[in-house]
Amino acid sequence: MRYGTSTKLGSIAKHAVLALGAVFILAPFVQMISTSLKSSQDIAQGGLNLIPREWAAVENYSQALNATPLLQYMLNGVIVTVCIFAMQVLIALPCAYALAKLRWRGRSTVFALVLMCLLIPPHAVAIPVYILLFKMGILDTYASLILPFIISVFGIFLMRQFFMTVPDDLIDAARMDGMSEFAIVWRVMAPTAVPALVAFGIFSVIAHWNDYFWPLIVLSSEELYTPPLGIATFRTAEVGYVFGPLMAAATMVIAPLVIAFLFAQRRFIEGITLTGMK
Amino acid sequence: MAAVGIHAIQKSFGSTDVLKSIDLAIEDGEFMTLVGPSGCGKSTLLRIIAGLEAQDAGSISIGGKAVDDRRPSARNLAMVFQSYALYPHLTVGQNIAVPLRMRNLSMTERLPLVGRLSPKAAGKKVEIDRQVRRVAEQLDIAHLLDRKPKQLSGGQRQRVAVGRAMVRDPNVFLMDEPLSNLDAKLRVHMRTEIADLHRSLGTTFIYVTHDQAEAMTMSSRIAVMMEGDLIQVAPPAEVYDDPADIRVAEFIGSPKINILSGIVTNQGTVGCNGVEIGIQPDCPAGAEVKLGVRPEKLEIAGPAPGRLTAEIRHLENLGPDMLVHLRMRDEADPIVARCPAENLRTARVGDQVGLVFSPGDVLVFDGTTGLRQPSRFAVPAPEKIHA
Ligand SMILES: Nc1ncnc2c1ncn2[C@@H]1O[C@H](COP(=O)(O)OP(=O)(O)O)[C@@H](O)[C@H]1O
Ligand SMILES: [Mg+2]
Repeated sequence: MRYGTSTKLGSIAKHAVLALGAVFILAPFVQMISTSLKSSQDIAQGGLNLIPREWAAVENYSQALNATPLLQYMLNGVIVTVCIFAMQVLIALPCAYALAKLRWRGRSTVFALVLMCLLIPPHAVAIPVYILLFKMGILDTYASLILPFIISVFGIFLMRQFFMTVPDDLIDAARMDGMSEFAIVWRVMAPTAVPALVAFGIFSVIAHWNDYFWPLIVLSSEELYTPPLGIATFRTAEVGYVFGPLMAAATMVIAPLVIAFLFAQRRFIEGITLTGMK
Repeated sequence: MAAVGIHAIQKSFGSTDVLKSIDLAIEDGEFMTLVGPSGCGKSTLLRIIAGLEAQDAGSISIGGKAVDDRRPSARNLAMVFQSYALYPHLTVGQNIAVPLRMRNLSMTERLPLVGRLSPKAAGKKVEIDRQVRRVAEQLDIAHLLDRKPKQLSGGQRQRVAVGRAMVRDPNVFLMDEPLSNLDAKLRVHMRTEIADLHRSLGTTFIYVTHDQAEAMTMSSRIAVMMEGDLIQVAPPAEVYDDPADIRVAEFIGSPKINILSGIVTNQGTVGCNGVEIGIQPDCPAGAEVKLGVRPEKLEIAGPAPGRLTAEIRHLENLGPDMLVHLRMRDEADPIVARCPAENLRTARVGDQVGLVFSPGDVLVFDGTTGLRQPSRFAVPAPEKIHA
């Protein structure tokens, strides 16, 4: 059975490569969780022990929760990311529908502009946007964290690509049944696009939950801090770097993302492969 | 129920004229089939009737009233699409209910919670459920109401699509090639079902197909479309026996009609492959004509002087009948004759045979325009002359 052994070898090699990659990606996370459980002496000793020699899990996690209002930061994070995503969907779906399924003069030009906007790095427009928010007088508010991101060209692009695969007949059937164009977007297109929406949601939530740059620029009140800024406050404490509580805070901050991803994983993969509809 | 009037409808996409001034009056309760080759503009015309596409010029009336400025749903038509176009996220029951929910419930009443709070909305929803169930039972899909479209076979999806169209009791049914995604056997079966449905509902049907067999078997009248023009509108038998144009003759009928070329002789008859055919078209001597003879009107006989001869290339046994594929010298296209099988016991591929037909069965078309030419028989009332 030469054929059998060679495919077996091939599959072992494949898995070995994947496992190596996984170790490479996961190592920092494991290190983070391990460090969050260790006492500061243990951490200071260095070494690669994953199991703490001296446990300080309770101390680290309670210090992370007490020294800074971490739960408040996480609540801020939830408010901001949920609002951003909701508004992005509210705007991107009708836009994507118009770009994919309606015929109007200038459609291809507008779509080209959307593609061009994909190329603009967010940092390039940070200062104009900052000035705009300043003139509007809403710096250092939730609005300043949310408004700049409610139009997601990536979302428009992704949803447009997905809507292209929805058959025209389905839309015509909806029109015959008496749906308005907006009803078609929300009652026909959105439900068929759930996998793409989940994928977009994960991209969007991760990006804005983890965003450090923008909140740092627009916020000055600590009670509006989002999780990444909150974690950073550990660094500025007089004691210098307190790794244990810092890693405990970091673990708590990414936990919701990991859990959410695990729940949405199947849909997410359907969404990026864009084959969920066939 | 309503009559549909199509008045001077024109449509072009960019520089291509897809519909060149179409006029058609469809009577109340009629089963009208638009038939023609792919790309001739049938779907475009149907979509204009439905209001899904705007015409460039002309007007559509339904029940005598112009509907050009009405949205598709306000025209109260129902459409069955080739791909069925069922909502993939809704169950069969919900799919069928959509047109009623959209028409009978207000925006707030459609919200799930309001239905429970408002007795009026709840009453309407019960009524919708009742109608959905009635239609489902009529179509024999009541046991599928809770399934999603993905879990249905092609034939079942087809029925759901018909159910969604029926439930709102439309003025007119529009169907765009509704059978072409089904396998051959089911397609033949569904023809009968749709014809039955038309009989029992008595509603006007406008049915689009590129399949001439569907058109012939189901319709009250057939409208043959070619390249954006209607070239003949008539009952199936008339379209078959009395085509107005050579393109109609060639499109309708399977196997295809045989076309021979001929020239009008000085006596006014037609010479074809050196044989004189006893028919006198209204054409000047020397004019080129095309002669059309249906395969079942051709008989195979022994070769004889003054008789068209051809060589048998292939024999196709259909059971009771035999299709004889023939090649005639000087004719580019093969000739097909459909004869009772028992007449051909001795026929072999390669045989030279004579072709026999009655001049009364010959359709004469103008050689350049393709229009049908009226013609008389050269010999008064012949029983059967062997040309
Ligand atoms: N939206 C459109 N844009 C451009 N051309 C179209 C459009 N719809 C149809 N056409 C063209 O119009 C012609 C007729 O199409 P259609 O009505 O779908 O034909 P049929 O249904 O008879 O096959 C075709 O040549 C097709 O390419
Ligand atoms: Mg078509």
